[in-house]
Amino acid sequence: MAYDAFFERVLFAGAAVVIVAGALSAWTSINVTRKLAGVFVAMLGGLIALAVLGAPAWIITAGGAVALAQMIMGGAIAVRLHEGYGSSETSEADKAEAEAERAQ
Amino acid sequence: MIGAYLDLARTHAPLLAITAPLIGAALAALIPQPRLAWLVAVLAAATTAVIAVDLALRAIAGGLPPGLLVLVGVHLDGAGMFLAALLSLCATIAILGAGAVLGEVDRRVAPLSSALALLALGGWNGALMTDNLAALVIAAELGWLASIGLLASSSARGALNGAVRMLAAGGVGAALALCGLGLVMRSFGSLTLADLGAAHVEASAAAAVGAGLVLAGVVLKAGAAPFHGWIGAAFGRAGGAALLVLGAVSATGALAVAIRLIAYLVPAPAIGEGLSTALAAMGCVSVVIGSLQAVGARNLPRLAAYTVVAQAGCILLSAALGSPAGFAAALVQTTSLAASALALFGGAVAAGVQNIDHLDGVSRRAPLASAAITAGALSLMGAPLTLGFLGRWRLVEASVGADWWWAAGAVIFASLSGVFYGGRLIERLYFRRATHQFEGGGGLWRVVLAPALIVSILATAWGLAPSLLLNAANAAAAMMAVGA
Repeated sequence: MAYDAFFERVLFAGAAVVIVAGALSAWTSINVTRKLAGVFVAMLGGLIALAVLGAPAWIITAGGAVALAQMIMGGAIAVRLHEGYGSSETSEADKAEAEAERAQ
Repeated sequence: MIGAYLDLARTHAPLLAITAPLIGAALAALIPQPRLAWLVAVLAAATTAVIAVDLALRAIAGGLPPGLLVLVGVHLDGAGMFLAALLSLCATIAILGAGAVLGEVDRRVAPLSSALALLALGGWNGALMTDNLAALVIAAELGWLASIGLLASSSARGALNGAVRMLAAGGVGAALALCGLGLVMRSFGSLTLADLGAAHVEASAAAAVGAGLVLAGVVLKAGAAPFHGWIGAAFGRAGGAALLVLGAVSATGALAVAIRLIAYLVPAPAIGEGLSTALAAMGCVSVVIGSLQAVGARNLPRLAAYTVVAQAGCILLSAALGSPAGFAAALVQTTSLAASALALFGGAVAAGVQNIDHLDGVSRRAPLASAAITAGALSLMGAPLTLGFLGRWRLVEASVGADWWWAAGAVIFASLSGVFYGGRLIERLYFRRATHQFEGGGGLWRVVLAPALIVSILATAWGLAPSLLLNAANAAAAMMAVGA
């Protein structure tokens, strides 16, 4: 029993580390693909945490559906962003928008 | 015959308030003609608004009506009904106004834009009426993702940059909320909202962390600092239709869900005090950062977005008090935020203005848009007799009553900042000559923006005779613990 509780805590701690790693990548990366990957990793960590804590299957399934929707939407936005700016980096997009505002 | 159908609709009002926009979204998405899809969207939003307002008025006036069918999974409380009614009204006006700039959106994508606006409304309404914390988080994600899709569907390429930032921020928020859900479920033993306040908590630290993570996931979507990094990019370059819906529906919806969630979590004895302190600190930070960024903004939609950050801070401060007076103040301020968002974003769209420098002399070319922007600015200043003043006054009263004198100081800071950036807008509109070509106006469909501008002006002036709003807010706050 004590071993189970310890194992559960280790798994939860691992899930928390995964969430933090994903969050850092999503917030600090300038590359859109890395941002999306960070979001995916963070969501994966969230789902692992739910599973470790014994959440009902419907919540984990719904969370998975949200993650899938985020990836599909993110992929579509990333493709359009690359078409619009010729780059997948948000810093390039920021620069282009700042120049457009100055021109106005 | 019609009366029988109306009675049936009233009996099923809670279900219809959630499903009507979702059904409307499906219909709008299937229609290939943009204008027809937009009309269907307006009708669906208006139907939702009538249902939600009728339900709220009946419940707030005399308690939940007998015979009202409340299904499993739905929980009606004062905040949820008040805010669902407000949100549905805002969505109707915003979607109607979006028809004026429908031509800016790609023809192939325009029906999808109308559908996404309704999907956002359905998601936020679902989060305001569900009885389960997990369903609240999932419904809020639906509203959030629909808003991102709407922003990305704008023809302006700058909107894509904002959409990426929204997706990244919201995705991390969702992950934190999922983790928090697990901790809340383990600590409280239940995810039913009505049980959280009275549940016996074994591990208060885990419960506090879990509740905090879920709240963080929702508050991030509301744009409260320091999680508001996405808001400038999202609003700064959004297309007209996306700007109206993001401002009037998504920002208001996220804050509404946050208020409802706080109303259930703060009374929980094991975690309430800690949560209250954290929310109050976040509220203060949001007021200061949002106000300072609004002062420095040169882009009108971005300025309006930063005012949303500042107002979100005031609303969080009100809700953090945890008292009926605090919640009533939060509800009044949310109404004020919705009115000022419609005024500023609607005015920017109507006048065709992005850069603040281009506001010079616009009052002569676009008097109604200028009047709306002025009304929004006065409300943000907290000018007496405006709705903004009323909301802030209520917050000051509630915070002084709880010996939170520093909260009153934050409100004064927000108002003083509002004088600076609001006054700058009014000065440019009325006291300068035009220096840039006017880009607003043109097209018969521009007239559908008028309701958004007129309603925002009238709502701001509601401060002149606020008894109905104040009574409704007080009754809704008192009903917080009462439900089906």
